[in-house]
Amino acid sequence: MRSPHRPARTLVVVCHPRADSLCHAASERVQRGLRTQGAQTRLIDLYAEAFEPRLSLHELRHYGTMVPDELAAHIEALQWAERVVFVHPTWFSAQPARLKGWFDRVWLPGVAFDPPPSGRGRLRGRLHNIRRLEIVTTHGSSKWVNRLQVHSGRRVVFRNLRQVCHPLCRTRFTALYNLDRHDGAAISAWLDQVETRFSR
Amino acid sequence: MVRWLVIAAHPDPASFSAWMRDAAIASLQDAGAHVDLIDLYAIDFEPSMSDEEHRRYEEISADHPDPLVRDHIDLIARADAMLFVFPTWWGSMPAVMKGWLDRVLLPGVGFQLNERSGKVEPGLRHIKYLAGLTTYGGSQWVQRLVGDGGRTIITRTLWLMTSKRHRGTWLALDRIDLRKDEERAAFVERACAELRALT
Repeated sequence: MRSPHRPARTLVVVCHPRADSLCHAASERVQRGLRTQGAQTRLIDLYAEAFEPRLSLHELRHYGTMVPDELAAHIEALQWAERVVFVHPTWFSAQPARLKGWFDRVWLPGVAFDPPPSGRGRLRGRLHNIRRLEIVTTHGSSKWVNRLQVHSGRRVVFRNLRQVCHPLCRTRFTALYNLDRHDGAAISAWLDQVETRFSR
Repeated sequence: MVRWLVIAAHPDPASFSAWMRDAAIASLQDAGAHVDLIDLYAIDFEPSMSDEEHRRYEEISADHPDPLVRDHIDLIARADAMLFVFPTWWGSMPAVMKGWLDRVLLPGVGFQLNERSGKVEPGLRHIKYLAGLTTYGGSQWVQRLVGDGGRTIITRTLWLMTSKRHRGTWLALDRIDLRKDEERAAFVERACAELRALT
Protein backbone atom coordinates (compact mmCIF):
# COMPACT_ATOMS: atom_id res chain seq x y z
CA MET A 1 0.00 0.00 0.00
CA ARG A 2 1.15 3.48 -0.76
CA SER A 3 2.06 5.60 2.24
CA PRO A 4 -0.46 8.44 2.69
CA HIS A 5 2.20 11.17 2.41
CA ARG A 6 3.69 10.06 -0.85
CA PRO A 7 2.80 12.71 -3.44
CA ALA A 8 0.61 11.02 -6.01
CA ARG A 9 -0.47 13.70 -8.45
CA THR A 10 2.60 14.71 -10.40
CA LEU A 11 3.02 17.42 -12.96
CA VAL A 12 6.01 16.95 -15.26
CA VAL A 13 7.18 20.08 -17.10
CA VAL A 14 9.67 19.41 -19.86
CA CYS A 15 11.52 22.08 -21.81
CA HIS A 16 13.92 21.29 -24.66
CA PRO A 17 13.85 22.55 -28.27
CA ARG A 18 14.31 19.08 -29.74
CA ALA A 19 11.64 16.41 -29.47
CA ASP A 20 14.37 13.75 -29.81
CA SER A 21 16.39 15.22 -26.91
CA LEU A 22 17.75 13.40 -23.91
CA CYS A 23 15.49 15.59 -21.76
CA HIS A 24 12.42 14.27 -23.55
CA ALA A 25 13.67 10.72 -23.04
CA ALA A 26 14.26 11.50 -19.35
CA SER A 27 10.76 12.97 -18.96
CA GLU A 28 9.31 9.74 -20.45
CA ARG A 29 11.28 7.69 -17.93
CA VAL A 30 10.23 9.95 -15.05
CA GLN A 31 6.58 9.41 -16.00
CA ARG A 32 7.03 5.69 -16.46
CA GLY A 33 8.71 5.42 -13.04
CA LEU A 34 5.94 7.41 -11.40
CA ARG A 35 3.23 5.27 -12.97
CA THR A 36 4.79 2.05 -11.65
CA GLN A 37 4.29 3.40 -8.14
CA GLY A 38 0.69 4.26 -8.96
CA ALA A 39 1.06 8.02 -9.28
CA GLN A 40 -1.10 10.04 -11.65
CA THR A 41 0.93 12.13 -14.06
CA ARG A 42 0.31 15.10 -16.29
CA LEU A 43 2.76 16.47 -18.80
CA ILE A 44 3.38 20.01 -19.98
CA ASP A 45 5.79 20.07 -22.93
CA LEU A 46 6.62 23.76 -23.35
CA TYR A 47 8.18 23.45 -26.82
CA ALA A 48 5.44 21.15 -28.12
CA GLU A 49 2.84 23.77 -27.27
CA ALA A 50 5.07 26.70 -28.37
CA PHE A 51 4.71 28.38 -24.99
CA GLU A 52 5.32 32.15 -25.10
CA PRO A 53 7.86 33.00 -22.36
CA ARG A 54 7.66 36.81 -22.43
CA LEU A 55 5.47 38.42 -19.79
CA SER A 56 3.69 41.09 -21.84
CA LEU A 57 2.98 44.71 -20.95
CA HIS A 58 -0.72 43.84 -20.86
CA GLU A 59 -0.06 41.02 -18.37
CA LEU A 60 2.15 43.30 -16.27
CA ARG A 61 -0.52 46.02 -16.14
CA HIS A 62 -3.03 43.42 -14.90
CA TYR A 63 -0.55 41.49 -12.76
CA GLY A 64 -2.57 39.81 -10.03
CA THR A 65 -5.97 40.88 -11.35
CA MET A 66 -6.25 38.90 -14.58
CA VAL A 67 -5.33 35.45 -15.83
CA PRO A 68 -4.84 35.17 -19.60
CA ASP A 69 -7.13 32.50 -21.10
CA GLU A 70 -4.26 30.57 -22.63
CA LEU A 71 -2.77 30.06 -19.14
CA ALA A 72 -5.90 28.63 -17.51
CA ALA A 73 -4.92 24.99 -18.12
CA HIS A 74 -1.41 25.63 -16.77
CA ILE A 75 -2.80 27.17 -13.61
CA GLU A 76 -5.26 24.36 -13.13
CA ALA A 77 -2.40 21.82 -13.41
CA LEU A 78 -0.34 23.80 -10.89
CA GLN A 79 -3.21 23.79 -8.40
CA TRP A 80 -3.83 20.06 -8.99
CA ALA A 81 -0.24 18.88 -8.46
CA GLU A 82 1.23 17.47 -5.28
CA ARG A 83 4.59 17.15 -6.93
CA VAL A 84 6.17 19.12 -9.79
CA VAL A 85 9.13 17.76 -11.74
CA PHE A 86 11.05 20.06 -14.10
CA VAL A 87 13.08 18.35 -16.82
CA HIS A 88 15.42 20.65 -18.77
CA PRO A 89 18.97 21.24 -19.95
CA THR A 90 21.05 23.71 -17.90
CA TRP A 91 22.18 26.67 -19.99
CA PHE A 92 24.19 29.46 -18.38
CA SER A 93 23.62 27.88 -14.97
CA ALA A 94 19.85 28.05 -15.30
CA GLN A 95 16.67 26.91 -17.05
CA PRO A 96 16.16 27.67 -20.76
CA ALA A 97 14.33 30.97 -21.28
CA ARG A 98 11.08 29.25 -22.17
CA LEU A 99 10.89 27.57 -18.75
CA LYS A 100 11.91 30.76 -16.90
CA GLY A 101 9.05 32.44 -18.73
CA TRP A 102 6.66 29.76 -17.45
CA PHE A 103 7.56 30.86 -13.90
CA ASP A 104 7.22 34.54 -14.83
CA ARG A 105 3.81 34.16 -16.47
CA VAL A 106 2.06 31.27 -14.66
CA TRP A 107 3.19 31.60 -11.02
CA LEU A 108 1.04 34.70 -10.57
CA PRO A 109 -0.25 36.68 -7.60
CA GLY A 110 -3.65 35.29 -6.63
CA VAL A 111 -2.59 31.91 -8.06
CA ALA A 112 0.81 31.05 -6.61
CA PHE A 113 1.00 33.65 -3.84
CA ASP A 114 -0.46 36.75 -2.24
CA PRO A 115 1.81 39.73 -1.82
CA PRO A 116 2.56 40.60 1.84
CA PRO A 117 -0.28 42.82 3.17
CA SER A 118 1.71 46.01 3.79
CA GLY A 119 4.20 45.31 1.06
CA ARG A 120 6.68 44.17 3.73
CA GLY A 121 7.86 40.70 4.57
CA ARG A 122 7.70 37.54 2.53
CA LEU A 123 5.19 36.31 -0.01
CA ARG A 124 2.27 34.27 1.33
CA GLY A 125 2.10 31.03 -0.57
CA ARG A 126 -1.07 29.72 -2.20
CA LEU A 127 0.33 26.46 -3.56
CA HIS A 128 0.34 24.45 -0.34
CA ASN A 129 -0.85 21.51 -2.46
CA ILE A 130 2.75 21.17 -3.75
CA ARG A 131 4.75 19.03 -1.33
CA ARG A 132 7.63 18.17 -3.56
CA LEU A 133 9.69 20.05 -6.17
CA GLU A 134 12.17 18.20 -8.35
CA ILE A 135 14.66 19.02 -11.06
CA VAL A 136 16.03 16.56 -13.59
CA THR A 137 18.67 18.26 -15.69
CA THR A 138 21.60 17.78 -18.04
CA HIS A 139 24.80 19.85 -17.98
CA GLY A 140 27.47 20.28 -20.62
CA SER A 141 30.08 21.05 -17.97
CA SER A 142 31.36 19.24 -14.91
CA LYS A 143 29.91 19.22 -11.42
CA TRP A 144 32.86 21.36 -10.22
CA VAL A 145 32.40 24.06 -12.80
CA ASN A 146 28.74 24.17 -11.79
CA ARG A 147 29.63 24.55 -8.11
CA LEU A 148 31.94 27.44 -8.95
CA GLN A 149 29.38 29.25 -11.05
CA VAL A 150 26.50 28.62 -8.61
CA HIS A 151 23.48 26.87 -10.06
CA SER A 152 21.20 29.88 -10.17
CA GLY A 153 18.37 27.94 -11.82
CA ARG A 154 18.30 25.46 -8.96
CA ARG A 155 17.96 28.36 -6.53
CA VAL A 156 15.08 29.83 -8.52
CA VAL A 157 13.09 26.62 -8.02
CA PHE A 158 14.29 25.31 -4.64
CA ARG A 159 14.37 28.67 -2.89
CA ASN A 160 12.12 31.10 -4.76
CA LEU A 161 9.26 28.93 -6.03
CA ARG A 162 9.48 26.75 -2.93
CA GLN A 163 8.54 29.75 -0.74
CA VAL A 164 4.96 29.58 -2.02
CA CYS A 165 4.55 25.79 -1.84
CA HIS A 166 3.75 23.65 1.23
CA PRO A 167 5.91 24.75 4.19
CA LEU A 168 7.43 21.26 4.40
CA CYS A 169 7.88 20.93 0.64
CA ARG A 170 10.82 18.65 -0.13
CA THR A 171 13.25 19.05 -3.02
CA ARG A 172 15.37 16.65 -5.02
CA PHE A 173 17.95 17.31 -7.74
CA THR A 174 18.92 14.74 -10.35
CA ALA A 175 21.64 15.70 -12.83
CA LEU A 176 23.79 14.31 -15.58
CA TYR A 177 27.07 16.26 -15.86
CA ASN A 178 29.62 16.36 -18.70
CA LEU A 179 26.88 15.48 -21.15
CA ASP A 180 29.09 15.40 -24.25
CA ARG A 181 31.60 12.99 -22.74
CA HIS A 182 29.17 10.15 -22.21
CA ASP A 183 28.65 7.34 -24.69
CA GLY A 184 25.33 5.71 -25.49
CA ALA A 185 25.72 3.07 -22.78
CA ALA A 186 26.40 5.64 -20.05
CA ILE A 187 23.39 7.68 -21.13
CA SER A 188 21.05 4.72 -21.15
CA ALA A 189 22.35 3.72 -17.70
CA TRP A 190 21.54 7.22 -16.48
CA LEU A 191 18.03 7.01 -17.94
CA ASP A 192 17.52 3.69 -16.11
CA GLN A 193 18.64 5.37 -12.90
CA VAL A 194 16.16 8.19 -13.45
CA GLU A 195 13.30 5.74 -13.90
CA THR A 196 14.31 3.81 -10.78
CA ARG A 197 14.53 7.00 -8.72
CA PHE A 198 10.99 7.94 -9.67
CA SER A 199 9.51 4.47 -9.25
CA ARG A 200 10.23 4.26 -5.52
CA MET B 1 36.94 55.55 -24.86
CA VAL B 2 35.00 52.66 -23.41
CA ARG B 3 32.30 51.12 -25.60
CA TRP B 4 29.39 49.92 -23.50
CA LEU B 5 26.76 47.48 -24.67
CA VAL B 6 23.58 47.87 -22.61
CA ILE B 7 21.11 44.97 -22.66
CA ALA B 8 17.75 45.86 -21.12
CA ALA B 9 14.51 43.95 -20.51
CA HIS B 10 11.30 45.45 -19.18
CA PRO B 11 7.90 45.28 -20.90
CA ASP B 12 6.91 48.80 -19.81
CA PRO B 13 8.72 51.73 -21.48
CA ALA B 14 7.46 53.93 -18.60
CA SER B 15 8.84 51.66 -15.85
CA PHE B 16 11.41 52.56 -13.24
CA SER B 17 13.69 49.99 -14.87
CA ALA B 18 13.49 51.91 -18.17
CA TRP B 19 14.21 55.15 -16.33
CA MET B 20 17.29 53.59 -14.67
CA ARG B 21 18.44 52.35 -18.07
CA ASP B 22 18.10 55.78 -19.70
CA ALA B 23 19.82 57.51 -16.78
CA ALA B 24 22.71 55.05 -16.92
CA ILE B 25 23.11 55.52 -20.68
CA ALA B 26 23.05 59.34 -20.41
CA SER B 27 25.52 59.25 -17.59
CA LEU B 28 27.95 56.97 -19.45
CA GLN B 29 27.70 59.15 -22.56
CA ASP B 30 28.41 62.28 -20.47
CA ALA B 31 31.54 60.58 -19.22
CA GLY B 32 32.66 60.13 -22.83
CA ALA B 33 31.69 56.51 -23.37
CA HIS B 34 30.09 55.16 -26.51
CA VAL B 35 26.86 53.28 -25.75
CA ASP B 36 24.92 50.76 -27.82
CA LEU B 37 21.51 49.65 -26.53
CA ILE B 38 19.67 46.38 -27.04
CA ASP B 39 16.15 46.87 -25.68
CA LEU B 40 14.84 43.30 -25.81
CA TYR B 41 11.12 44.04 -25.43
CA ALA B 42 11.22 46.95 -27.88
CA ILE B 43 12.78 44.83 -30.63
CA ASP B 44 10.52 41.86 -29.84
CA PHE B 45 13.48 39.56 -29.29
CA GLU B 46 12.62 35.85 -29.55
CA PRO B 47 13.87 34.18 -26.34
CA SER B 48 13.45 30.50 -27.20
CA MET B 49 16.28 28.62 -28.85
CA SER B 50 14.86 26.76 -31.85
CA ASP B 51 15.32 23.16 -32.89
CA GLU B 52 17.65 24.26 -35.73
CA GLU B 53 19.67 26.50 -33.41
CA HIS B 54 20.17 23.62 -31.03
CA ARG B 55 21.04 21.17 -33.80
CA ARG B 56 23.66 23.55 -35.25
CA TYR B 57 24.72 25.00 -31.90
CA GLU B 58 28.48 24.45 -32.30
CA GLU B 59 28.84 26.32 -35.59
CA ILE B 60 25.70 28.43 -36.05
CA SER B 61 27.33 31.71 -34.92
CA ALA B 62 29.23 31.88 -38.23
CA ASP B 63 26.02 32.28 -40.31
CA HIS B 64 23.12 32.70 -37.91
CA PRO B 65 19.68 32.64 -39.60
CA ASP B 66 18.30 35.41 -37.34
CA PRO B 67 19.55 38.89 -38.45
CA LEU B 68 18.99 40.27 -34.92
CA VAL B 69 21.31 37.66 -33.47
CA ARG B 70 23.91 38.46 -36.16
CA ASP B 71 23.71 42.18 -35.27
CA HIS B 72 24.06 41.42 -31.58
CA ILE B 73 27.11 39.24 -32.19
CA ASP B 74 28.72 42.24 -33.97
CA LEU B 75 27.79 44.59 -31.12
CA ILE B 76 29.38 42.23 -28.58
CA ALA B 77 32.57 42.02 -30.65
CA ARG B 78 32.87 45.82 -30.65
CA ALA B 79 32.12 46.29 -26.94
CA ASP B 80 34.55 46.68 -24.03
CA ALA B 81 31.91 46.56 -21.34
CA MET B 82 28.42 45.11 -20.83
CA LEU B 83 25.59 46.36 -18.62
CA PHE B 84 22.42 44.32 -17.99
CA VAL B 85 19.34 46.23 -16.79
CA PHE B 86 16.27 44.26 -15.69
CA PRO B 87 13.71 43.71 -12.92
CA THR B 88 14.27 40.59 -10.79
CA TRP B 89 11.39 38.14 -11.21
CA TRP B 90 11.37 34.88 -9.25
CA GLY B 91 14.93 35.51 -8.14
CA SER B 92 16.38 35.93 -11.62
CA MET B 93 16.23 37.82 -14.90
CA PRO B 94 13.10 37.97 -17.10
CA ALA B 95 12.83 35.12 -19.62
CA VAL B 96 13.60 37.35 -22.59
CA MET B 97 16.99 38.25 -21.15
CA LYS B 98 17.78 34.65 -20.26
CA GLY B 99 16.87 33.83 -23.86
CA TRP B 100 19.29 36.45 -25.11
CA LEU B 101 22.11 34.68 -23.27
CA ASP B 102 20.91 31.28 -24.54
CA ARG B 103 20.68 32.34 -28.20
CA VAL B 104 23.45 34.94 -28.63
CA LEU B 105 26.35 33.90 -26.39
CA LEU B 106 27.05 30.92 -28.63
CA PRO B 107 30.21 28.90 -29.08
CA GLY B 108 32.51 31.27 -30.97
CA VAL B 109 30.87 34.27 -29.26
CA GLY B 110 30.56 33.77 -25.50
CA PHE B 111 32.96 30.86 -25.24
CA GLN B 112 34.97 28.35 -27.24
CA LEU B 113 35.38 24.67 -26.81
CA ASN B 114 39.04 23.71 -26.91
CA GLU B 115 39.07 20.59 -29.08
CA ARG B 116 42.29 19.23 -27.59
CA SER B 117 41.62 19.68 -23.89
CA GLY B 118 37.84 19.38 -24.20
CA LYS B 119 37.56 22.41 -21.91
CA VAL B 120 35.40 25.48 -22.27
CA GLU B 121 37.39 28.68 -22.76
CA PRO B 122 36.18 32.25 -22.29
CA GLY B 123 35.05 34.05 -25.46
CA LEU B 124 34.48 37.50 -23.93
CA ARG B 125 38.09 38.24 -22.98
CA HIS B 126 37.77 41.69 -24.58
CA ILE B 127 35.02 42.60 -22.10
CA LYS B 128 36.70 44.54 -19.30
CA TYR B 129 33.68 45.50 -17.25
CA LEU B 130 30.51 43.59 -16.53
CA ALA B 131 27.66 45.19 -14.59
CA GLY B 132 24.07 44.49 -13.58
CA LEU B 133 21.42 47.03 -12.60
CA THR B 134 18.23 45.62 -11.11
CA THR B 135 15.29 45.98 -8.72
CA TYR B 136 13.97 43.50 -6.17
CA GLY B 137 10.41 43.28 -4.86
CA GLY B 138 11.56 42.07 -1.43
CA SER B 139 14.42 43.11 0.79
CA GLN B 140 18.01 42.50 -0.23
CA TRP B 141 18.35 40.09 2.73
CA VAL B 142 15.50 37.93 1.53
CA GLN B 143 17.02 38.07 -1.94
CA ARG B 144 20.37 36.84 -0.59
CA LEU B 145 18.58 33.99 1.17
CA VAL B 146 16.74 32.92 -1.95
CA GLY B 147 19.94 32.89 -3.95
CA ASP B 148 20.08 36.12 -5.96
CA GLY B 149 20.03 34.19 -9.24
CA GLY B 150 20.26 37.20 -11.57
CA ARG B 151 23.36 38.35 -9.76
CA THR B 152 25.10 34.98 -9.89
CA ILE B 153 24.43 34.53 -13.63
CA ILE B 154 26.11 37.89 -14.30
CA THR B 155 28.85 38.08 -11.69
CA ARG B 156 29.83 34.42 -11.83
CA THR B 157 28.66 32.53 -14.92
CA LEU B 158 29.18 35.37 -17.43
CA TRP B 159 32.10 36.88 -15.56
CA LEU B 160 34.05 33.65 -16.03
CA MET B 161 33.82 34.26 -19.81
CA THR B 162 35.38 37.74 -19.60
CA SER B 163 38.92 39.02 -19.02
CA LYS B 164 38.34 38.62 -15.24
CA ARG B 165 40.58 41.63 -14.57
CA HIS B 166 37.81 43.50 -12.78
CA ARG B 167 35.08 42.17 -10.55
CA GLY B 168 31.52 42.38 -11.76
CA THR B 169 29.55 45.41 -10.53
CA TRP B 170 26.16 44.67 -9.02
CA LEU B 171 23.72 47.53 -8.41
CA ALA B 172 20.33 46.67 -6.92
CA LEU B 173 17.50 48.62 -5.36
CA ASP B 174 15.45 46.40 -3.07
CA ARG B 175 11.82 46.70 -1.83
CA ILE B 176 11.08 48.64 -4.99
CA ASP B 177 7.33 49.02 -4.37
CA LEU B 178 7.92 50.73 -1.02
CA ARG B 179 10.53 53.22 -2.22
CA LYS B 180 9.77 56.91 -2.31
CA ASP B 181 10.73 58.94 -5.37
CA GLU B 182 13.68 60.53 -3.53
CA GLU B 183 15.06 57.11 -2.59
CA ARG B 184 14.73 55.90 -6.17
CA ALA B 185 16.45 58.99 -7.51
CA ALA B 186 19.25 58.69 -4.94
CA PHE B 187 19.80 55.08 -5.94
CA VAL B 188 19.96 55.93 -9.65
CA GLU B 189 22.45 58.71 -8.94
CA ARG B 190 24.66 56.37 -6.92
CA ALA B 191 24.44 53.64 -9.56
CA CYS B 192 25.34 56.07 -12.35
CA ALA B 193 28.35 57.30 -10.36
CA GLU B 194 29.58 53.72 -9.96
CA LEU B 195 29.20 53.05 -13.67
CA ARG B 196 30.93 56.30 -14.63
CA ALA B 197 33.87 55.27 -12.46
CA LEU B 198 34.39 52.37 -14.88
CA THR B 199 34.58 54.61 -17.93
